[in-house]
Amino acid sequence: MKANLSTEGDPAIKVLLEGCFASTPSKRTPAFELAQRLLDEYNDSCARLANTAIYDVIRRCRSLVEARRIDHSKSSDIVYSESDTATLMEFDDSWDDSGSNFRLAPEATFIIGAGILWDLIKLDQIQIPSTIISRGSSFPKGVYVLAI
Amino acid sequence: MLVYKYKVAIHYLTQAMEMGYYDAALELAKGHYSLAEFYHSHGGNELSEKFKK
Repeated sequence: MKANLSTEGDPAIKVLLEGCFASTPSKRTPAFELAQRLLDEYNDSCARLANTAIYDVIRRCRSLVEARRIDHSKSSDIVYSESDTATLMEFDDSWDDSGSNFRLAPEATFIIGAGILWDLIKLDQIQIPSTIISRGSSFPKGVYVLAI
Repeated sequence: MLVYKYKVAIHYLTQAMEMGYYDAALELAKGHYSLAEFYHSHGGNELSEKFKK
């Protein structure tokens, strides 16, 4: 029997599995993309169920990252607010946290990292062990270059 | 401060990748590339020339 999604009634399943049953193997959804779709769906479900505040923060910040991906020719006027960053940092360690059913760490960590890279977060809002940043450098915050 | 920014970003993006968040690949690659470009334009080129001699 040939598998397809034409009889599937759940629109969410249709979106998640889109492309997986293409008759040409090379046109099927790659495993990493499917894994990403499932993880995104899982994260969204977790956020929706447990805490609407984090859901809104993730949605808002994610859209800012997407906008920067499309156009990063000039600096963005809209950035993450301090409270958005603080909320994201709260969920930074929720991965494999015993006793917690919340698994938002992958997406929260990505949004923090992408926010820093695209200048959407002020660096002084982030606290990180200096041992990680100073790796390969004798300075606590890495290498400084002074403009003359 | 630029190097600090890239290093912090790379730290978080690597963590996200390790947890299976592969969508972070674009920013992670960009972070590494920017860092390498920075080192290259601030003495890295001279250093590599010295090694060649």
